[in-house]
Amino acid sequence: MKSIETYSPRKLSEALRILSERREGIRVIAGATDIIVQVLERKKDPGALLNISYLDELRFIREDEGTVRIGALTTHREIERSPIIKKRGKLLAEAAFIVGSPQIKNLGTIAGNVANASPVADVVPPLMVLGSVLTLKSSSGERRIPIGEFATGPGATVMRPDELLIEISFPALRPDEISFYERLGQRRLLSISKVGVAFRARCAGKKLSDVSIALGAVAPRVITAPRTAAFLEGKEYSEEVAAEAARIVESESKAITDIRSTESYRNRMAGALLIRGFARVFQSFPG
Amino acid sequence: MIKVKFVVNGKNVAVESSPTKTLLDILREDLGLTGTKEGCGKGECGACTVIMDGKAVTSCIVIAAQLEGKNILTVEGLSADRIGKALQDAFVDSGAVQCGYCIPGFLMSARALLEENPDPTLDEIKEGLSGNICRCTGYVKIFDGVRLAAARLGK
Repeated sequence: MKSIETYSPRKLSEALRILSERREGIRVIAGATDIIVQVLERKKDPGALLNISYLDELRFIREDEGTVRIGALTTHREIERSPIIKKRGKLLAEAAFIVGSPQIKNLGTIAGNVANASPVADVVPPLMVLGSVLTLKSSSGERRIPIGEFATGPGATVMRPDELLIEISFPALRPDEISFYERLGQRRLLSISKVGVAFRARCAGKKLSDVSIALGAVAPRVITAPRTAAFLEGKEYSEEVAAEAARIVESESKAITDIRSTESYRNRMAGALLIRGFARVFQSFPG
Repeated sequence: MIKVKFVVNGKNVAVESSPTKTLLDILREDLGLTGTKEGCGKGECGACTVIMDGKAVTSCIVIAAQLEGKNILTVEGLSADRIGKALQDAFVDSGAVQCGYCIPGFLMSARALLEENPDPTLDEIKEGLSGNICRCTGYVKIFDGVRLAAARLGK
């Protein structure tokens, strides 16, 4: 195999300089679980590789004044086990748990999963309902964009070639908020999702407000379900309300038929997962 | 070509390599450590599992460019490791090994598991070994082996 030019900077500023000079024809790798397989199978010639795995300044999970900040190089395993995430973004910990095997979760990073812009990425629907903001940095500056505006299609994003995704942040979940991530795959673990449903809302008694719902694997990118959220706004949870919400979310799901599942099954299951998530949350939620 | 320095089973090593040569190939070809096996070659079957900085990883998708300063434990280093030795003995005593090809990977995942969680439940063992595939045993005796090792280590 021909040798691929690889840069392994030790500082973020150096990585950004390399990106600004090279621009096209360079792929960023961190855990590299996806790209290395493509390179080794010669499915893709990345031109050159920018290996950011030594930028330890991008490895952190912290909570600052109600905001949870996750550094780009944080692995799925670290997220799944983080006391901060378990408390302040529990559904993200749930999604990180099912991303892959322990070995893959020890390598793969959250920023890699997001930047890959796969519509089936399990961490993205939870990050969307949490209201996450992505920090994109280049040698000329920094910008912060909502995660919902990041991916434009499978593998495509608004990130410029000279930018690096360095941080993901979201408002910490408060005690009066409920949330869940439910997904369906061929197996419980180690399978790519057919459908994923993330939900977050404030909940007083059983009355829902500030509802946010995101759906994975049912469109070219992760999408929100605004009509379902609007229907639930101000309603008290009941099995009847959940059933009606499920009917609406099925119509908002825009699935296709592919190797993993069919259009109609995926759309129906988006509703079923919403009902399942509600049942799980309200069984344990006092009020 | 790049030069990387790292530690394998407690020994310092320096390797000159293509930046995208895999840790698996470096272990087997450059360092002669052939205990680590290649299965799928794309991080799915777990046969090539080693421990890197305390964490189980599939060595077939870790590349030379990522190895600087890393601390690697392979199956060859297990007999000098308290948990590793207990696992090896327990796998033998439980009949956990049939063809044996997947076993180095299972031992490494089990070593990472017991280091983090010395007294795992059966479900925790299943989750800890979920990234390793065995096509002979049906897993039952492998789980028995891990439980036996945990029980012996806890005494």
